[in-house]
Amino acid sequence: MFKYVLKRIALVFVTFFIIMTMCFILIKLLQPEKPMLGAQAAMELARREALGYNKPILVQYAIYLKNIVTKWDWGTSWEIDYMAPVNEVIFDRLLPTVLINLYSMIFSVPFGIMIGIYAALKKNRWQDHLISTWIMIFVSVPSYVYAFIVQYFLSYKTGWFPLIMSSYADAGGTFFSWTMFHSMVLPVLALSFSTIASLARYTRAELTEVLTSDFMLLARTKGLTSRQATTRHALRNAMVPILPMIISMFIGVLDGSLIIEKIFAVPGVGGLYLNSINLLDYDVFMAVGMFYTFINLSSMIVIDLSYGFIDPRVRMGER
Amino acid sequence: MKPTDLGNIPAEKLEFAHQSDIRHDVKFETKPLNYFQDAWLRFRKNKSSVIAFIIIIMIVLFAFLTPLFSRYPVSFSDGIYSKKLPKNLVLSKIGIATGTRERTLSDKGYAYTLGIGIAAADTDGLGATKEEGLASEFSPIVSGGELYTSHNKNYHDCVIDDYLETGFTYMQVTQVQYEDMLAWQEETGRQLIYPMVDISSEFNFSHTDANYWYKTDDSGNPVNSYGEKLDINKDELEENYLRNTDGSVAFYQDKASNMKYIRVLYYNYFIYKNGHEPAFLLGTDGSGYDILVRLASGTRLSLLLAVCVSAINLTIGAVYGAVEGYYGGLVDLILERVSDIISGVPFIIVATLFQLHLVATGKVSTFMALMFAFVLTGWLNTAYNVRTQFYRFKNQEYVLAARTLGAKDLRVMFKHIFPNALGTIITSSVLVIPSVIFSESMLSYLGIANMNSSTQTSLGTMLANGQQYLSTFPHIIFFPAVIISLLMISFNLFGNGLRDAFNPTLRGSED
Amino acid sequence: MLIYRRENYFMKKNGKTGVIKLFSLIFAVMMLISFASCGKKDKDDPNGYTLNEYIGATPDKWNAHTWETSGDRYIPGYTEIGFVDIAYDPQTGGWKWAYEMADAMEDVTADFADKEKWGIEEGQTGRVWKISLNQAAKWADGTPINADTYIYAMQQLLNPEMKNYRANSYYSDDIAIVGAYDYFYSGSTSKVQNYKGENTYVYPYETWVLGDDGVYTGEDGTKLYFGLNDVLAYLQGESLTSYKDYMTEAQCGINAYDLLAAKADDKGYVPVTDETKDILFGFTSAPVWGKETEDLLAAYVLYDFTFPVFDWEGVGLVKVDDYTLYYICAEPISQFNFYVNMTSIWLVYEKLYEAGKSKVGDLVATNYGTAVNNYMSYGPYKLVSFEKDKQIVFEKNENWYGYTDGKHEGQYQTDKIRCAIVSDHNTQLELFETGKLDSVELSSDDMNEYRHSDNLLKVPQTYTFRYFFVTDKEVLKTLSENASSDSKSVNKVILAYDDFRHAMSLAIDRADYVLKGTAGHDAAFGLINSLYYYDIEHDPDSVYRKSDEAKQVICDIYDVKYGEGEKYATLDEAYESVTGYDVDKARELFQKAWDEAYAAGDVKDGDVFEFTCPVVKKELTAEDMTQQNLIQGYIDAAIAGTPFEGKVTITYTTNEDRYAAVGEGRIEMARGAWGGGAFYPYSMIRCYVDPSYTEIHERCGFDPTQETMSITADFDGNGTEETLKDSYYNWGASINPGGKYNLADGKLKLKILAAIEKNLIEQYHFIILSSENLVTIYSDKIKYGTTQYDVMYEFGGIRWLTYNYNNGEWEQYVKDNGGTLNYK
Repeated sequence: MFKYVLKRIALVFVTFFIIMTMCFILIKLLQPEKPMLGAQAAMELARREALGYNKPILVQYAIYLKNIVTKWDWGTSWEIDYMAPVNEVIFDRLLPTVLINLYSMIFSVPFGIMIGIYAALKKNRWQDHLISTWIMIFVSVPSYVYAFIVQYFLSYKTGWFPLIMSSYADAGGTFFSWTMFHSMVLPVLALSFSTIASLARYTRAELTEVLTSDFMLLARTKGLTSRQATTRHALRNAMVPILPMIISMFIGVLDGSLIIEKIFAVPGVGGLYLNSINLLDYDVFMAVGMFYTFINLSSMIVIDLSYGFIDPRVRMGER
Repeated sequence: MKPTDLGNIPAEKLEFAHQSDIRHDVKFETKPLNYFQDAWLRFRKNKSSVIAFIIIIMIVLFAFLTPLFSRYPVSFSDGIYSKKLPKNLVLSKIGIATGTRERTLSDKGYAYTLGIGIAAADTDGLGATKEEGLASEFSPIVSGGELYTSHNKNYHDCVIDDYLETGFTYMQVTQVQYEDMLAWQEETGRQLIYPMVDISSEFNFSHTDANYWYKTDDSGNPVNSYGEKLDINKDELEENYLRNTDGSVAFYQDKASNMKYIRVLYYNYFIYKNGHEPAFLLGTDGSGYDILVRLASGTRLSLLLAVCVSAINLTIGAVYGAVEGYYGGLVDLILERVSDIISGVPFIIVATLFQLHLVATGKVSTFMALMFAFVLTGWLNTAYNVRTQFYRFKNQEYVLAARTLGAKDLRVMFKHIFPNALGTIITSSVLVIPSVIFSESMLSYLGIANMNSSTQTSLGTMLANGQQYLSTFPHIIFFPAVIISLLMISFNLFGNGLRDAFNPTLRGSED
Repeated sequence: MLIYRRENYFMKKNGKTGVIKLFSLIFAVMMLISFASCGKKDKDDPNGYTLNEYIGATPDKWNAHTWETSGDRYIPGYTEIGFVDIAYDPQTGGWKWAYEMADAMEDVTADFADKEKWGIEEGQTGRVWKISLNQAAKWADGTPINADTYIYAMQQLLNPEMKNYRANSYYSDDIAIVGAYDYFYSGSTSKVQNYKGENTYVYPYETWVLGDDGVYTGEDGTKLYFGLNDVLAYLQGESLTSYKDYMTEAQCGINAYDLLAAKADDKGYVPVTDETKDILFGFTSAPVWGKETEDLLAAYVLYDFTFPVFDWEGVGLVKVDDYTLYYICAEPISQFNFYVNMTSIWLVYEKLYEAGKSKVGDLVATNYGTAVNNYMSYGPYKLVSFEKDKQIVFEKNENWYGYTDGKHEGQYQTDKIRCAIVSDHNTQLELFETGKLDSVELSSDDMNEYRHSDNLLKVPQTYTFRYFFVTDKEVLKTLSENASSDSKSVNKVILAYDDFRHAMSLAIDRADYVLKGTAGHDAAFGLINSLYYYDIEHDPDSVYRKSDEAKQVICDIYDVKYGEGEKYATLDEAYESVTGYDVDKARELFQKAWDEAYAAGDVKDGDVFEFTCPVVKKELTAEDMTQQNLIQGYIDAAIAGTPFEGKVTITYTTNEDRYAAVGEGRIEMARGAWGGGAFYPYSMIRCYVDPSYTEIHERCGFDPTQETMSITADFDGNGTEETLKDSYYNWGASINPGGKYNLADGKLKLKILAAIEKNLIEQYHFIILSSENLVTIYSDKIKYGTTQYDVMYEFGGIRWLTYNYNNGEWEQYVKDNGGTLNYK
């Protein structure tokens, strides 16, 4: 088993390198616009030449790798944050996104699982149908619709919560003050709807399937009360696909939702990826892309291992 | 009588029996049920998924039949009647789809809206009173309008007809068109061309808005001929019509190359052009398209795209996942890394590059580009699900038994493991359909793929375009959102129903 | 194995209820942390005056030497101020110069001492400007600003190692300083073009000398190179690389580009040898390139030119004493133009500027002006907090001289500006209606709701939207072949026919188009809209569009006559009647174009005329689709009854760089706009006629340096009118700095400008559509200096902004109105 884990980690770096090369070539295929005004065109071309933009792509890639390996310098951003080192560009914006996602996770994961369990236990009764339709509505309605509804009713009409997330300065120079938290409630709520709905749906689906399996019958014949049988056996088996989902959600804490951050003016990383492509800020795009790719790849390993972790019979990668 | 004391069974309990009475293996009377009949039986019992199936059929019928009955073709659009509320002449009698809304108007707004009714009543330009204006059939004010003040500002709450609120528009016509309009007026008795406004006079507030037929100051408040402010609650509006050289009211203004600049009541102009009164059952969207018929064409396109994509994803994903899950070990490692690489591909860039090089130069249609964009990474989920299912069942007892009996890999995979995994695969692939529509709306929101053109559109594009009108005209996004929610709910319940139906282990267990 | 054997993972031990207990524990802890540390609340001072406004995106740099977009100018708008400022004058209702960082600026060229050192001829004016600095001017941290600060800042701006984006406006534009160009390039060697315009060369072909190493050199031995990637003036702003599809075997019989590229260095320079000369000549002499003669090879040559080392003494910014400067211009400049350019200046704070410097490649750049701690303000307000994508806050700069010099009474009442960065339009509207924003820009959809509000302001823009075309027949032929397939033969060559494009222009009903398709645009018939002044210096209401010459241009183009015996009595009436919409004439011209093209074999019966027209860079909006359908409708109406009926379609698309795509002949047409420079329509017209100023969008088929036009006017002032013929390029240059008529009287310059506009439009290389207006709505809390928009001072700006409520009263006013205000 340990050898398998080591092989997997080695392979992560190989995949990481292949993806990195592919991304670099793809983004360099999109050439920035030539500046129009005659006099300033020469200036801009000189600047690009100094930075080596018109060298062949592979040569540029070699320089890029050399900088990373020798000085761990992932380059500077020229369009999004003028001349800021790239890791600064990302980590300045990471905290708001992580905070909002974390609050939303803490609020929605227990809530979602509980609803799922309740619906599964009351299968095909009116509670189950009610919850299922609620889940479907929240899953199918686009996020910007219920983000708007939340903002319109809980803030514009009633004024209970501020419309947009408060700034660092207004919140008294800390991200952990009451004004900041009060202003974060709406984005957290908007983010939680989809998490609660999807968690509840999967829990209900998995639990119903497990409840009808034969070892439950055995548990009941052995004389366990239905509560004990459900908690001890059914839930554990139902958790086989659910726990990895929760883990990937924890990992997902790092990528912000572009739309929620746009509507509630959250200065997060949501729009960074897309922005770096539109503005052709090469170094920022590469850094953000690689940051998420590395996290996804490593989370894959964690998830695969967690299967074996929960259900001993299932050992991933076994012959 | 305990079963153990067999010895002293009373004689009268026994009877003589003939040879033919003894029962051996008698053929069952019931017909043999194959896999799908059994699945259909179970499916029928699950009420919610049957309802869901019916809803899907109704939506598909709606998508294909509406264009036949609808009064407007898909490409119909009217720039002036854009963003109008749902209205249907029949239904509005019983209070549904009346095309009206409450509005709080300031004095200036009330004068402007009431003015439309007065102008409509004043067909010859000699003047009309406020009462005649309110009574006119073209007055936008349906009811209300009483004055009240709050924070020393005057307000009028009234119910306004969205279509009549457009009132008058200026238009340039050739001589031929002008005569044709006059003929139509005689023929139908509906007044189309109204007195022309003296645009270049100092009392005219806007040279493009034909509803300012009365004298106004330079911020649009009604004034009299001396420029003193009028109070709409007390005084009448003073007209500012263009006069011919002989003093009579002019109905057109001559323009270069014998064109005429005229002022028409747009409600009647719509009837003149389209032959029927303007009424759109679900209202019109931001560019003046009829939402009902666009919704049908959008649903058609989106469903087509979604079904193709989910079919392709299902096949590729199932095969890839099966091989990966079943063989495990080295094969799994490599295939897993291949799918990691593909999932690492920066999807947005590939879509932009695809758009840039293929679609922009017209080699490939947007539909194909979108198809490729979805299929590129779409099948990964199914593959992942199938792989997990395979790992789950691979060590089950019956599979070991099948293998010991000498079944080859292919048979084990697709005869034993696959049917068990079929439940979750079906659910996930059926759920792909609404999620494709969903992510297509994200793509058009981010501006990567745009299916919008005069002859075709898609549900996703309608959702994305509706987003900007959320606070001002919510009806534009409401109907596509309802359709996609219905699709999501029904496909999901349908998927659950299918999963229980195709789950062989459930045979015979009644819920 | 380690992970696997562990028994007590949390699930088993705690069971279901355990999960909930654990999560709620974490939740409680998080809540505790957030409440415990609620720091100082930054509430606004209740009786202060805070302006709440918003912008859509975060500016990334506002360093005076490197700003690029108008968004970058947002912060300096409050934290910096020029020598002089254009201020609204409440007494006269017009505008006046307000002296700010300078007390006086006079033109002292006449009695200037050492003229010959600076190359000033006798009798010249507008070359030397004496600037006496405002002695009370200080940075926000109190350090005084004197002549040395300006000298240091200019040295950094022109620093050869930094290649600052804004350096060119001080070494090559109207206010270029003597010697700045040489200082900027001093000591650097760069490739300079051999072609100097109108077939004059530094090293003409005949004078080339074959060096012993096989490389050709000029007489003085400087090595000559062919440039592949460099933008060549001879190719009007294009490089050889952009024509590489023509340099292939199929097109010109020799694989010229690949052969040259093989011999080029990594910057694309190919040493001129016999071999490379023949390769290039193989291409330039081919029919596809117009069979150029051998001597024209010199036009593709660049040579190494090492600029002589040039030190600061030669630069015309001279310190006279601690508070006086001489600003010596390279070209004469009128007082008005000089003052306008001095409304924004080049100051940077030395300590922070130097601290921010770092070397990137062989380039030096500074991060000055990218955050609060690396920037220093010196205007009425100082930058207090800057949070990316969230909020920018300014406060009154106590060290600003204006608050204590008695010259700014009743001005700058605002004491704090909070700017939220919000890009979602719904949220912006809701913030405005709940009193959290003091103004918001409205879209066409909002107009339906806010039309009757008293707080509306209309802001006209200088942009004129037009379609522009490729008109070169050869290029259109290749484009047609690319688009055709065996099933349909697509014909784009018809666009080469002036009658066809003229017919398209007459087919468009512009009044209907702006009403139904745009957000408050106005129909446009001329290239220069009503915001442009042709002689604002002497005559404040000299609006170009309202001048008789400009009106006559429009009447001539649409041949609308006036006077006795005509339909219209006066020029004004005739001008008012122009609609640019004549369906019958359009139909005639379509028919004429068809007959002509059919006879010439450029059009066949089965042809289909499908044009793709990119209109935006990224996503097409619903409004674009409406506009496309409207235009398609007008054209369908006009071609009914002609052989084109049912065959012409225009489809809108997107394109990363549509201007270059049409210019380089990759796409047949596009829609775009030029604008800006409301005080110098003369420099704006250069966008259509001067390839060295900008890339001409219509250059694929229209070469302003070759095409000629004639103008009749009294050029030599002897009372009689003469007719002169010259190229568009020369006419454009003649009314700009350095041109023959640059300093001529306003009337003559106006006549020339009007004639250029008329001749350009009549070519129909472009079809003019509309000009743009923005609409904003402001809150009851604030009052602008004036609600009449003027291109000089807009609405009076932050200088004259006053308040009806202070912060406390405003909060109360909003509460009284139940939390949401009704502006509808």
